[in-house]
Amino acid sequence: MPNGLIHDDSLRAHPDGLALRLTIPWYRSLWLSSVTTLALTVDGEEMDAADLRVEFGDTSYRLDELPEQSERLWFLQEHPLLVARRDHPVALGETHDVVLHGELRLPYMQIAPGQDGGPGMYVPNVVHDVKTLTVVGADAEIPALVSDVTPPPPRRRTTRSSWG
Amino acid sequence: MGLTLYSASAEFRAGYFGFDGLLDRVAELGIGPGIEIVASQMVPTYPVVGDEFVRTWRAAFDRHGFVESSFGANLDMGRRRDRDMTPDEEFAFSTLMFEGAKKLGFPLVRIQSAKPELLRRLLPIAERLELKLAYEIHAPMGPNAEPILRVRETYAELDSPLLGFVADFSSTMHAMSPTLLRAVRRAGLDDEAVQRLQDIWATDATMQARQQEFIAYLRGRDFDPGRLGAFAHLAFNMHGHVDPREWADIMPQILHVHAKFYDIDDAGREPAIDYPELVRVFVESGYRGFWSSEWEGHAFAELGEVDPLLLVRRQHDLIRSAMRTVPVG
Repeated sequence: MPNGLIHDDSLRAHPDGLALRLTIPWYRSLWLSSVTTLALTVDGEEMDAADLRVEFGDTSYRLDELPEQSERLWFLQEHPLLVARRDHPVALGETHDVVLHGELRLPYMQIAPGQDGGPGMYVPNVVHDVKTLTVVGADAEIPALVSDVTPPPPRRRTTRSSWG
Repeated sequence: MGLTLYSASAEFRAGYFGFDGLLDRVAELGIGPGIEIVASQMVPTYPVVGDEFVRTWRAAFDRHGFVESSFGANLDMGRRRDRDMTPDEEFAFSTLMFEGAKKLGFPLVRIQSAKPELLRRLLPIAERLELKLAYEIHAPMGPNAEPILRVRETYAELDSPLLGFVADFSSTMHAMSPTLLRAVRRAGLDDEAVQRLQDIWATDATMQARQQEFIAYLRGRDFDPGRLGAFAHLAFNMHGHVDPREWADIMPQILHVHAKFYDIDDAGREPAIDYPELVRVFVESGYRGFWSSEWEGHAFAELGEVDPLLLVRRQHDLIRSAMRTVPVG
């Protein structure tokens, strides 16, 4: 499935246990408050929400802190780490079964406005990533792009919009 | 001609290039001159367009001779979890978007909210900033769908030359895209189910009714619809089959075109969207705005399945050849 939270190079070692490099499962940046659910199962064991946090560079957020983060942008090109605390940290080269369930609340797609000053209903996006991942130490390489195209036709100024 | 950088959403997200590199790639492939962005994708300090972004933008535009076509705005009314934006907050957020568009030199903002009172307040801002506002019409709706008729009524009431529409060709497809059908096959649908999906899609029931009929069909065959993830909904939501000729009903108000596409086949055609017909309708009705290519296969395709910018270049060839076949005068 495209547009998932995790990819083949997502599983990383971390002193606290393990980390997953996340990709925003949408085509535009969203607010951290737009992330309504993150639920992680590793090797069949469901992780406690209290053992999870989302790390953007120097700043860390517990899952229960996310709803307030309506000013913190998860920029499309940002890849935060979902850090999971566990007794036995994973090591490079190990393989683990990972299930990451995520839900978004799309803030610009309102289904129904809120009543009496309460929150409205918004279109959700549900992502359920089931992957067997190997712990790696770096991002996957970016593939080379080809450019074998014929030269474009010369630009005709008359095709330019005549709007003011 | 031009494109919306939205076409390269997946590659940009995956870090194939930075913003500058993306524009370089567009120029390298001979695509242009029109550049459209979705601000909430491309602007790192969204919703504010910062000075650094403006500098990068101007330098790239000077280097490549691009022209600003459309600034895609969003209204994030559900930004907070405890309540929606107040009308004042919606106005402030929209104004910020408009100011950003102006800083980047855009003549047009794509809007997604046409609430009468909000638009009424925003019109003087748009006028001061020399912006036109274009409400996007896309799948599953067409120009004569109920919600769009209401927008047209609002427009008639407000009676402003600054208000118009973006016509997105996802509204007016004649078939489901091979890219989508490949994706649902990968997700487990067999030939019979893929045919049934297309048959149901082609009927004139509402989007919700068609979706429910397909889900019921899957359950009847013991196939868990959950295996399709978002596709079960997106298949009906993102591909509309309104008649292309309906665009002529509002052509004077169409300020911008999203030349939506999902595939270009070996013969250079878009298999699910009748480009010769759409080009004929628009050219004959006097459309003079941008054709902004929008590849949306990234909703269904895996990263790396195709190179969307190469496809945009081929789609421009398709549009140009379709323009040449429209009878003159």
